[in-house]
Amino acid sequence: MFSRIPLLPKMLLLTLLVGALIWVPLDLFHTQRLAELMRAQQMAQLEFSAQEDRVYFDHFLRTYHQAARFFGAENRLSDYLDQIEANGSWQTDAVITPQQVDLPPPWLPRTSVLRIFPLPRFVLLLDSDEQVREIYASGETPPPHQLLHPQAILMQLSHSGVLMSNVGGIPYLLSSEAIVADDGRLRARLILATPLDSEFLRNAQKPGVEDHLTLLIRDDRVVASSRPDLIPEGETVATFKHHYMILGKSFFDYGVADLFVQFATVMSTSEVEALTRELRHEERRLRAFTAAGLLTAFLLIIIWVTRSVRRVTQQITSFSRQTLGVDPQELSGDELKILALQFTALRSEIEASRAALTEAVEERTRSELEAAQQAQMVALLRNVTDALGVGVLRLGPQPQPLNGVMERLFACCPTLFSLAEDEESAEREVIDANGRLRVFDLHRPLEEFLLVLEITEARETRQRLALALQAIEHTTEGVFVTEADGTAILVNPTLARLIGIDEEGTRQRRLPLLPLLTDDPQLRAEVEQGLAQTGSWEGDLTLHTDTGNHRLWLRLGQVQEQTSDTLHYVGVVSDITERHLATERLARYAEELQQANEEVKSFASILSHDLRSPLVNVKGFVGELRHAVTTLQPLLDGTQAEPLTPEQQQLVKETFSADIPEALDFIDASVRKMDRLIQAILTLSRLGRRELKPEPLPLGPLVEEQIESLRFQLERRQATITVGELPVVLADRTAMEQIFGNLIGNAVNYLVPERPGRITIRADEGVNEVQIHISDNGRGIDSADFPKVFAIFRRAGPQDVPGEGMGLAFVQTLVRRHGGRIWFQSALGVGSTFSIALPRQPLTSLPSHRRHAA
Amino acid sequence: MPPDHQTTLLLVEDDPGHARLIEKNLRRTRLACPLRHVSDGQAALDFIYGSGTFCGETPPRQLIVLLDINMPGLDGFQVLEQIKTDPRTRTIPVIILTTTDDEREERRCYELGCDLYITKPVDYAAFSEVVQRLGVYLSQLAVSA
Repeated sequence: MFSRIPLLPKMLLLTLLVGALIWVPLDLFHTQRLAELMRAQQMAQLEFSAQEDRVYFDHFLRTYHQAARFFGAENRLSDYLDQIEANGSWQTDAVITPQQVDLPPPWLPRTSVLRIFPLPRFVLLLDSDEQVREIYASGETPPPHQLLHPQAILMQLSHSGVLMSNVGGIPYLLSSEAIVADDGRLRARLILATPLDSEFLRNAQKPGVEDHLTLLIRDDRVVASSRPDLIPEGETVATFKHHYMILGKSFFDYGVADLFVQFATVMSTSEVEALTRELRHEERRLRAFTAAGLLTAFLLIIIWVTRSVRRVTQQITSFSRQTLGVDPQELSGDELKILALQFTALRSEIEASRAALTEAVEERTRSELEAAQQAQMVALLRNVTDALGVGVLRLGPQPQPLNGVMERLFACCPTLFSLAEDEESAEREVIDANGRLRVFDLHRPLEEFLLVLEITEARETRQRLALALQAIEHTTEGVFVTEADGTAILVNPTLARLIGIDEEGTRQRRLPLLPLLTDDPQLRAEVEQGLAQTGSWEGDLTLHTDTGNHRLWLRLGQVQEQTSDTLHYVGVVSDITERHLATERLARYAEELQQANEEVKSFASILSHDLRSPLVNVKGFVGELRHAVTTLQPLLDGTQAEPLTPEQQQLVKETFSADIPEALDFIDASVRKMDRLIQAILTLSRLGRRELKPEPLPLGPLVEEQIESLRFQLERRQATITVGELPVVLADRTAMEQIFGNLIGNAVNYLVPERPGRITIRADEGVNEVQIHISDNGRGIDSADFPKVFAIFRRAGPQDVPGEGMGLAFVQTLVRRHGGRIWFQSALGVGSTFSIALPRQPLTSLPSHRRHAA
Repeated sequence: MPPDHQTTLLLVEDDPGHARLIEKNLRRTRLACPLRHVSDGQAALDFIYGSGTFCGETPPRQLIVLLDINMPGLDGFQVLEQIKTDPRTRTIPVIILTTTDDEREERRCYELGCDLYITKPVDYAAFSEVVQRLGVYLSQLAVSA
């Protein structure tokens, strides 16, 4: 309904409505505010006026007082008094007749002078006895009776000021002046008296004031009013308060008063309101004018806008009519609405037209397009299939290759590419001219087309891949593949078994693999650094598992996929635990062999010396014997004719008694020494060859036995032996007896007499071996003699203990045959500790001949 | 004065047989210098330094040491090393007399500073000649000093 109204009135209405809505409260508020402001302004103004009135009134009172003085000083009065004094009497005898204004008494100042002062209502002239002699009244009202006998008043007036006092029930303003002669005598007295009535007030008010009036109020009742027509005398404050506002109300502060009379300035409230109203009216007029202007301007704008809208509508209408040939509905109402409707109609019209047009064009070109498209499709198919390496064959009585690939395939083996009626796909194999087995995959997606794809390589790759996977699956090496971040994606069974994980689980859980192989963070960092720098890493690591430690050799390398940038790491883990152990063992054997070799050399050297030494003697003394024979032969063979000289006899004697026995003794000793040496070597050799019979052997009792056999020497040397707890070892009893007998014997034999001998025997039990230490505080061994200690026939230090230098060589041989070690620590003059280590599992497998030398 | 009268021979030999043979043979070559015999290395050093068992005995000014290698206690190597590393005794000629002809041993002796290495049994004529020459050398050394 609303849309049927044209835009112009609608907008106008809307503007007015909105304007009114905004304007009215705004106007109300504004007016209110203005009125308040005006009232405040006016009040301030009035208050000022009230103060002014008051000042004026006070001034009037003061002038009134001055008037009394002035009147008293007037020459005319003194002249008059002179005249009366000269006459000796007053004109009237106490009969007081008030004089009228128009008949001023001769003592009253001239009119020109009187005009300066406010004229008092009554002027009384009193004689020296203060009796009223003459009265001048400016009005027609007669003076009240009390005024004529002013003695009471004079009492109050004595200090020559103005006095406000009640005279005959009416408040009066009084002022008096004494006229004094040169000699100080009182000649006369003037009293000025004016009732404080409305008339007085009119005179006392500032001239030209009309907007307000002044009042004298006594006991809340008006006694005088400057406008009795508005507020008459006698009215109470309560009565006029409703229509007037009292602007100033104050008591007198000038002169003396025995009355409580207030001076007030009041103003009619209607006066103020009228003023406000007028202002408001003016304001409204101004605003109405502005509103009218604005409205007009707005109207003009609306008209202009509407006209533009209407013009666009007309153009659309004419476009519809002329171009589309549609007669649009003539509408009236809101121009914008019309525009929208027309536009919608136009749009649907245009859309319909376009659809029709498109349809027509499509219809016409469809057939042409189809043909072109088909050709294009065939070309595209040819290109695509060629690029893909798929052969396309059009089936029929004469199969026709549709692309290059097919042409080549067809040329190779034309009969191969056919499918039976019920087949949709098949694989065909053929051996080509080069003797290579080729495989083709045939597909018939449509009735007349056959797609042929050569899958020879794919199949070969697949087979290779299967083989490779099979190899990885079954190899004894651990193989794994990880992603670039180290998470496992393939772990072969060997490795899975080794590191004790579920192969399938690892792949699913995406475990980082390296921490499974080593828990050494430093090594891991090293591996990662190696991979980052060179892309590969190789090294050994130790894997701790439940079944024991494994020594692993890890080779890691990065592999980049050809089709993408994805990086993988391939690792091969070899369990080299056995190899490692073997290597260690080998190293140990090599070391032992080296040592044995050295010992053999040394042994050979020692033998050559020690066996040669007696031989040299034998040879030398045989030479001596021969020399003796040579010397004696000429003397004793009987060929000499002459008898022997005493010298010759002496020589013969000496040769027989000294040289020859000496030579024979040395030869004998040497031969015996040789025999001993050979015996010793044989013993050593036997030790090396003798079959050991290991048995569980408690060392404690065995050692005790040995000590027991040395009991005599121990007592002689006052030595003590402390034996700790000794274990049970698996060893040959005889060998152990020899070993401990020898070691303990040495410890005892090399004690020194300077201090009591202390020998300690104790054992350390390790995991793999048992160590037994025999310590003494004997003479010790000089470090220079260390190499001789275990050497055969060699002895260190002073030769004060008998021996052949064989003992420790035997001991060493026996210990070694048990797979053990022997060593010592010693300091000259302090003592020695000989230690032997025996394995818990003796190395029985070592062949005895390896040990022959030592 | 013949040099051999001033030169003392110190024989260090643990084997009494060897010592006796050397003594006898040297006598037979009519080498006139005095011969002293000690049977171990420590005694030899004591004699050279005039210490130990030889305390108070002034060591001879001209001395040639005949030294066996294989001896119990201080062996020949140790004695040789001591003599040849001490500046006071470095000029004393040392002749090694030993039964072994081990090349390593011989090399070691020369490295330690021995003046002659002789393998037993000894050719005493040649040996005597050498000793005499060494005596001459020593006396010249003494004169020049």
